[in-house]
Amino acid sequence: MKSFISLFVISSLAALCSVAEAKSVTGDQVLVLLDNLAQKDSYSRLWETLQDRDFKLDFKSAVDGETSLYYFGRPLYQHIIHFAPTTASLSKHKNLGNVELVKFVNGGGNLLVGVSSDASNGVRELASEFDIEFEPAGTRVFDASSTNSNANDKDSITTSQVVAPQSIIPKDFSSAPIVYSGVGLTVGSLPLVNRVLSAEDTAFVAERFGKNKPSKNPVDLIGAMQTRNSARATFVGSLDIFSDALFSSPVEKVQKDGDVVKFEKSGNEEFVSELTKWTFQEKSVLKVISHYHHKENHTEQPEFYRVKDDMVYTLEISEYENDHWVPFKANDVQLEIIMLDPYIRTTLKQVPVAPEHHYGRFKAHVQLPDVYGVFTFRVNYKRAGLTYLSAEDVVAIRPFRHNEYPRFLTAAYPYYASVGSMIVGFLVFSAVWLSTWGGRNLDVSEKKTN
Amino acid sequence: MENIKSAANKFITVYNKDTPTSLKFIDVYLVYILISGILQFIYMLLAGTFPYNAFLAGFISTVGSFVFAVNLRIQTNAQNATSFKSISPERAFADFAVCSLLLHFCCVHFLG
Repeated sequence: MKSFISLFVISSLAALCSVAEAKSVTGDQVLVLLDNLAQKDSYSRLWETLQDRDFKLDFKSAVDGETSLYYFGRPLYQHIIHFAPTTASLSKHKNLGNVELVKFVNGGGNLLVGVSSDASNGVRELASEFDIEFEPAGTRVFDASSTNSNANDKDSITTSQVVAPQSIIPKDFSSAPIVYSGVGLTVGSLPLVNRVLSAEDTAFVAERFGKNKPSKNPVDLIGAMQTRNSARATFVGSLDIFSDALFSSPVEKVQKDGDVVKFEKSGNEEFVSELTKWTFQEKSVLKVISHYHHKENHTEQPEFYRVKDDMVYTLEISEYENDHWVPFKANDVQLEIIMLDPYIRTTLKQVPVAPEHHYGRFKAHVQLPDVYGVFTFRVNYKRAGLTYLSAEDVVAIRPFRHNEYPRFLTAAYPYYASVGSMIVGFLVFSAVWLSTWGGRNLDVSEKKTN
Repeated sequence: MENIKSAANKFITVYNKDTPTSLKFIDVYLVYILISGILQFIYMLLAGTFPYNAFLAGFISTVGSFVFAVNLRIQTNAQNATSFKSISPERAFADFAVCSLLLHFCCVHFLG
């Protein structure tokens, strides 16, 4: 009995400990750069939530010249949190300068950068490497009608305009608005980069609250880029959005009809949680499990097909959600059959899979083009916020053998009919002619009697 | 106009009276072949010459059959007996039959 109780207690403790959500797919070593280590405490809630998600945080001051991303060639960190916008020397750091950080992202590392209104040029240049331009130095975002009334000055604004795609921030993460205090940015036109958070329509960018320059376009506050190797870099114009003070600050929201709704707690904590989950590859991560093709009614995968063969192409994709791989659901995955140009482009249909498999299966039935050559079957799936997928198969398509052409052509049926009718006519005519031979007198004399 | 009409009428009455039935047989056969050839040609003009070998086979079978039937008619016409002393009607029919068979064999082969 006692052993049962102890077993029960131990297993429940173990279950409680594993309540932590979402471990990152890429790894759990995080380098946190701060302007000075004393600032660490103002974000304590953020560090707690990250450590709950099994991240190992390594806090370093930006002026520390000894910090390195690699140890004898092996990477020490998979993620970097860059909360040191005012340290001008960081952009020229021998291991953490802008060039090295860009190389880090190109090598698959993820980056989360926080910028404040007194940011140095180094961080601005880092952001422009990722097609994000911050508003000029010294400016902030102000908003007369959506100011955080609980703050002493007019520096912080509230906003509910989450314009990110569903894969980055889901629509209903929180009903409370987000409190923000910092600079605005402009997101470039690359398809790799997305706007994540925008200010309300009444917001504007200025040096002091008094100088109102109405901005024609909505002011963006957070931008995120997913590079071609699916590494993620997020640039946030406010360090305070991560701070404990704003996490727990009560906030008001003015509805369209003028009502003021009070919320006990801002939506910052949930928003930051979703944003960091996306940035550190804990969600919206896709993986191609397998891809194969075969002729209709066969199972083995051939090296070459024949022109106009019927082929079945199957692709299996998993998505990482809440700590494990689940089947991916989509209706817009396309297959292209390419030889310099795509000859066929078709959408794959999702087919049911046995529940013990952790992938979603997509199938297409295609008739291969009427051209022979070396073709590539390619699935190129790039969607905002999701890992970029590319699965390729190179296959040859041979022309018809001489006995594989169609035997009778429909266009030639009249000619077949005509030859047949000539033969039939000849036989009928000969039969009639020969049968009336006896009664026929072909002498000239018969003619003269008429 | 009147002249053409009266000429045609005269032609038809004389044809019906003076032509022996055997030649009329051949004439019917010739008209049949002619219609078949014309229909094929119209089809080719509409649908293109795509299986060119099939078009040639079909068309040549009609043209060839027409030519052989005309030959038979000429050689068995009693009025021409003086020009064809060495060719008896039996020989004419045999020529017709052998040539037609050869033509049909080649046309079926060329049809593909």
